[in-house]
Amino acid sequence: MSNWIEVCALDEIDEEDVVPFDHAGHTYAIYRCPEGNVFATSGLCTHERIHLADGLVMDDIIECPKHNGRFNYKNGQAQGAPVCEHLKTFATKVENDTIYIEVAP
Amino acid sequence: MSQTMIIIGAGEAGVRAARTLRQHNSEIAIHLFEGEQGLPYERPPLSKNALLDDAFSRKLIISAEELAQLSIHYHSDTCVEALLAETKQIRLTNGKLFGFDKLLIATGAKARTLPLLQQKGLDQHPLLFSLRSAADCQRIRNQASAGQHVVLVGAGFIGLELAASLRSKGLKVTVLESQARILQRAVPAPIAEVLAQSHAEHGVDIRLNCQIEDIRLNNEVEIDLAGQTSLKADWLVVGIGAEPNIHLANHAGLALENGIQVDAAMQTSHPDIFAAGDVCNFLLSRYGTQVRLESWRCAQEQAEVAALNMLGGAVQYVQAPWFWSDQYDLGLQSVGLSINPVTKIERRYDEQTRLYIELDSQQRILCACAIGLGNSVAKDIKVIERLINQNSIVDITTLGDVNVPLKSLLKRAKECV
Repeated sequence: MSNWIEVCALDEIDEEDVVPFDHAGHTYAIYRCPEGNVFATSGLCTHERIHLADGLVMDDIIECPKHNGRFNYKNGQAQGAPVCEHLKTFATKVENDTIYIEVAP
Repeated sequence: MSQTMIIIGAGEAGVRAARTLRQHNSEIAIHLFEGEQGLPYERPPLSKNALLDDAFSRKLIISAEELAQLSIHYHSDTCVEALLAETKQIRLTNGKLFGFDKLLIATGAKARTLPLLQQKGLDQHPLLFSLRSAADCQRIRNQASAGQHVVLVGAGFIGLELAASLRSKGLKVTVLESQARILQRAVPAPIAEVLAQSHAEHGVDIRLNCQIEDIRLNNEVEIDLAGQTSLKADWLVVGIGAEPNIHLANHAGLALENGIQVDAAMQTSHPDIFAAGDVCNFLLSRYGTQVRLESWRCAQEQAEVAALNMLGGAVQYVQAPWFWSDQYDLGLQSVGLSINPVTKIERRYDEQTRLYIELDSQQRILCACAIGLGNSVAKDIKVIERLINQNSIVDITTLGDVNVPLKSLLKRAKECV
């Protein structure tokens, strides 16, 4: 069963940027890529549980604000040391200019 | 026969080198020697979470499983006694010899002691502490309890991070600094000011321009200061910087200059011996200078360069160095080096959130240092890092205007290329 959660309005995230989103005790990072599409990953870096939403988005990559761990936020892939564990990703959709993510029910 | 690579020191540099060597060559034998017991661990938490969090355990850089999986021969609790450069061997304290084809020295740095305490034969006193290793951290953890008065000598990063951690644990903290302000060498004044303010608000007594005349260690600590009344405390931490562990390199006759001198390829004066991390004084050609840094990330990046060159590559270290510190709820980050700045610009978001940027005569950024709550300044520093590494010429008005996002400079720079 799908469980779509409303996040925010599309224009609340700049293109090539990221915002944090908390829901039911979990923290997520919600991204817009340079082309404008929306993506979602778990919100904490797999290295030291730092909030990724303070990091910098460049093209498809989010760079952790602390130790520069890099992930492709479109598929969650860790890009090498100091991070080796991938990020969990979540499905997103945009309806009526509102962003939704699909979380485990 | 396949080659043998030896790495001395299993800190961030040593482990990164071992990983990089294996990643690029599955044949070579890799031996990693470490004088300390246990698996390689991260040092940055030792002055922060490790003191605050009762349940803290060492954060490992690499696990035993991964060492085995990568066929990295890890020799912990094993001191290298001598480096025999001519015969390309190392000798362990038990007399055993190991030959190498290429060697990396990643022996790091050790805490500097106060000459006064050394002269008085007090440098091993039970009330005297310093902080470099997990064992040092454990000693401090065992010692510290709320209500005690601790004196920290030196308002550098280690001293201030310790001050914040120990204050948060309920100790009374006094910091003695010989300079006119905290972080004199490392951080521009407007940024240091925010930290000094935060320490004052948390009740840390920072005394500047302080000249220590005498220290007595008995059942308690007594310190005589020039022109001030004597201080009494329960224990004492000295955090006045670190000096590189160069004795192996020194005996081997390698070129030394505030650390082991290496070029941008991390190669020492011996073609088969490399050095990386806190122990090396390397050529940073972007700034046209030799520099020795104590930086978690720099150590790893240098080690990667060294490892690739040990495998016959021709890679140079060219990045702008990056550094961070956490004190209370504030996060500081800096990037680049302050070498002959011509223009200085402050970008002030609010009292606590500031970015200070230094540029050369051609309006290229040399360095920046920023402070703010949590990781709020990280994005700006990352943008600046890219602008430095791209040699971008930037618009100074935009830099100083908090209403224009810094990222727009990066976009503009991109378009210029």
